[in-house]
Amino acid sequence: MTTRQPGLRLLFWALMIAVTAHSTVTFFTDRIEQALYREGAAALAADLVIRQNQPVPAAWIAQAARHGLQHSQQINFPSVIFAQGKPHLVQIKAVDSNYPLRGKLQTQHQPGVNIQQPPNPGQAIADPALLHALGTTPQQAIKIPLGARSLKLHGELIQVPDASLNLFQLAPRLLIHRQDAEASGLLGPASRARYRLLLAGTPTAINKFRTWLAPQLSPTSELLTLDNSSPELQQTIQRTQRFLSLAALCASLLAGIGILLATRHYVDSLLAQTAILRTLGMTRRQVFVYHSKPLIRISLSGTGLGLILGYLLQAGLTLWLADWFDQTLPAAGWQPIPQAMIQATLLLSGFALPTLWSVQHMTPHQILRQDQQPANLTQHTAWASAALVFCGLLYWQANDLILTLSIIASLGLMTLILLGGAWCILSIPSRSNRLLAGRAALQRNPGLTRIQIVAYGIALTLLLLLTLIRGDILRTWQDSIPADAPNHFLINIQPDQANPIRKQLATHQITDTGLYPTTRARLSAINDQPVEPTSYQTPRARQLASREYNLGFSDQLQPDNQLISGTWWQPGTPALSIEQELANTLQLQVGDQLTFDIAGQMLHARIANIRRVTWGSFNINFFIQASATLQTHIPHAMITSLHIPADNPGFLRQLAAQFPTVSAINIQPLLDKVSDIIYRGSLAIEGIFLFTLAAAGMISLAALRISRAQRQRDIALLRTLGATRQQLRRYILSEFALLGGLSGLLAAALANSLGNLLGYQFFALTIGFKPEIWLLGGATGLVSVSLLGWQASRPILRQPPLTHLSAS
Amino acid sequence: MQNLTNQPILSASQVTKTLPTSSGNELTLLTDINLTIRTGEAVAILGTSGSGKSTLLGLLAGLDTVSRGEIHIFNQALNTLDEDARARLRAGQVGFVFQSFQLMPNLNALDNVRLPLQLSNAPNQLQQARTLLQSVGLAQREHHLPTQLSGGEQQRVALARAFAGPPRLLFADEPTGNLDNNTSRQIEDLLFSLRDQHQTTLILVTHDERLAQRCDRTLRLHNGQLI
Repeated sequence: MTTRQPGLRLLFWALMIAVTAHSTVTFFTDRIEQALYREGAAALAADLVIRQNQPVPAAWIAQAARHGLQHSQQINFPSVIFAQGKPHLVQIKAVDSNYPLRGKLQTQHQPGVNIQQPPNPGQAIADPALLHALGTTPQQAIKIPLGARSLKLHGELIQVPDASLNLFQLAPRLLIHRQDAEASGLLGPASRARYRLLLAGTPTAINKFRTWLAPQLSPTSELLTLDNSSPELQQTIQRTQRFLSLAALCASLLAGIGILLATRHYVDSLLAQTAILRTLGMTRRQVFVYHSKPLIRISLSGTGLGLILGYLLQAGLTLWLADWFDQTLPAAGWQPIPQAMIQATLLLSGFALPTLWSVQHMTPHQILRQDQQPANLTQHTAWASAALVFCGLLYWQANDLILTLSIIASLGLMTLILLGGAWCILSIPSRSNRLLAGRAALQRNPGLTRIQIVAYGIALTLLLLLTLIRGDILRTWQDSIPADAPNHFLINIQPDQANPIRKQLATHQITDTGLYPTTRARLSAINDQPVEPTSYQTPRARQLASREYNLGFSDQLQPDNQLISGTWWQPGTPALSIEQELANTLQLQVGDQLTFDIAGQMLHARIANIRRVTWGSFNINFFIQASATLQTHIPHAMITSLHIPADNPGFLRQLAAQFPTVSAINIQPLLDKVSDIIYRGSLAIEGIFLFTLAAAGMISLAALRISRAQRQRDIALLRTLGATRQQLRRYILSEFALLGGLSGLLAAALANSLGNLLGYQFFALTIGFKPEIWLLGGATGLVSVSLLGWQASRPILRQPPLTHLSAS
Repeated sequence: MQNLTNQPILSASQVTKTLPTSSGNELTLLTDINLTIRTGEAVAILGTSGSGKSTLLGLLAGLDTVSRGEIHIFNQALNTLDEDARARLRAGQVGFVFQSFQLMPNLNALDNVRLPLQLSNAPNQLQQARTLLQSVGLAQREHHLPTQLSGGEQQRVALARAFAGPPRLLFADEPTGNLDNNTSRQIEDLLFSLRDQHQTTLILVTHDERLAQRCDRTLRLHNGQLI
């Protein structure tokens, strides 16, 4: 490694800091994302589920095993059991001994004693509603017939991890072993059995298997992942990822500023050397190669060391946050390694190479005469290249075009405002007569002062912005799930049961979200053109085109839904409302006529509007909502969601006794899961926020290194002229206090404005004027920059002035 | 010519300066330097490049510390003073002129001259600084930054700054080393004229025999030793 040149050494440190900052955050967010997805996977009971009408071919299972995937098979079908002389409609869930692959199954045979094992062959475990209908209790064991088999029913289901996949099942659930289902003789062609293959493994293995499986799936097969199985979980995790990306983006931006400062210093240090080499007869190309070689070595060593430090720091960070996670985080993946290498290469290519290229095109005479004109002209190209690379990196990190463009526009605006602030402090005449005031020191190198104000300003703006949105947006986010959010769904309510159920709810003072008619429907034509699932490009679109929907009927727009296009209809008008993501995937537009097949009966209507759904509210929401007038002559049941307080456990038993055909689905575990993810996500963001603060400190040190030589010379000269330590201390501190304080106040102004903009744009929040952010910004800038500046300048005070005067 | 007294303003006794080397040995820059400078005297220290002239000047001015020996300035032993005390000793009493001018780049000509006056809390700083600038012929350039001045003009500002106070003792390290012949002559004339005007003792380091001859006496330094 050639780091004898001070500029190159600084670039090495800056690059190492950049990679350390980036890889620490990437390693850490990678682990948290894995943990969050693991949480999400618990709601699927697997990482990937294949659901279809036919038994799963043995070849698929063999292939899954070859990819190192765990598997579990499941059969779901409705059936009738005869017990106590009465028929009872049940939803059979037949699982094997591997179930579940993710999450926890909880059953109870005795009060307070939870068991996490699936039933053995010959055993059955039932929903509380079924136990009640059968007149038994979890502690009692009774024999129930199931086709050709006789099972021992003992225990109740407390928590079934993939229960949310069956929100619209028609009957209480009976959990049995798969062998019993196969031996029951009930799985004939008319059985309406749905077969599931549950798979779990590494993301790479899952993706490879998905790729292998895709061409073999029939149009009626469904692939269920976290993305498409549970929209409320998906939305929550997406929000968490957006926050984590924002935090990682902050670290990347700060690191980029560090590279920028270091590169500037490196190129300055190259000028004289380039002139000498050219004078001695080196060609332009030879000079370019000569200067590029150390850059490549720097890139490799800085990236390698940065990665090692990043890995160690994230391990320390995880250890430090150990109490925040009640289970071990998954091991860090290898993806941050190539990411860091690409980042380092891009940063060096974008920030250093064009500047090097411009230097080699200067004549030795121009350099020796310090005639910067040609370099200044080509430096515009170098800056443009740096900006382009920076924008590319931003898009890479944000993975969202609108967010990227917003950040670029914001950064441009921030830079202009910060440059304006720097101009004010440097150019407006001062009334102060003090030559050793901070302002005079800042005028030592106006260019570097401007860069430092922009760098400190951007760093502090990002930190303050994160503080602002972390507080306000997370609070709003957590408040979005109220304490009385619905925790149960009641399904399969027959129309004639609606009023008695309403009365029952009123008696128990339980508020429901309204009873909605619903029916199962398959989309058969769009604008009179038959729907062909295979004509769609993406697997997701093919699935949505082939699946059955729960069509809801209501003339009311749910309060937590938002119209994106079109208008809401007048009662009595036949019309449809489509959820935004479904409309986008199937390319549906307002005005399109859709035809649905409802048990052989065709229903036609036009799309009146497209709406955004807040799935996290746990209210009744439909992908497709039809106007109430369309339900006439359509066979339907009703559905509602309600919050049953924990102190009213008897309500469900009474309801099951009075309305045996009505099923209650407990979604409290899902609700708990979403709350848990929100809680952990907010803590993770706080952890990364702390790291971003450290990255800002590193930028400050890089800037100090750049101005160190000049500061050394000034201090040596002042000491020669008789300045005491106290005078020098005041001189140094006033410079950094002014720099930090000014940057902090400008940053506060920017953060407050951007916080309002981003909060409104992306999170529908109004933040308003925040005086505490101004105070925090000014104080943080002043104290942190002063401390860093003082710490970095102290050694200069100890050295004899002659050392620095001789050097200059 | 100054009024010479027998009062020594500066003396050095057995002064040696060594530096540690990476191999663990010592590199000797100066060996057993003994000298006395009397008040009002102009002394040239003459020597070739690398002979240790600038190192000796730095030690005599208290800008660096000796490895062995003693230096007395204004009757005070430098090795008994800490850094702040040495700085206070210099403030207002010692002036410097450097080969590379050493002006503060962020301060204009007037403020550069005013700087030592402010450090020593002198009265009428602005008026004094203006008068000094006028005396070096740069009254019209007081608001110019160093980068806006020629080499000769920068050294004039440095001379004006050096005589702010005015100092009892002036150290000049190759004051014309970066200038052409004509400008060198002008700066030399200005230096000796201001020295006469302020009756300042001058210690001048140079390799220029002609310049050295303008001083009252010459000390020759060779391989770190006075000969």
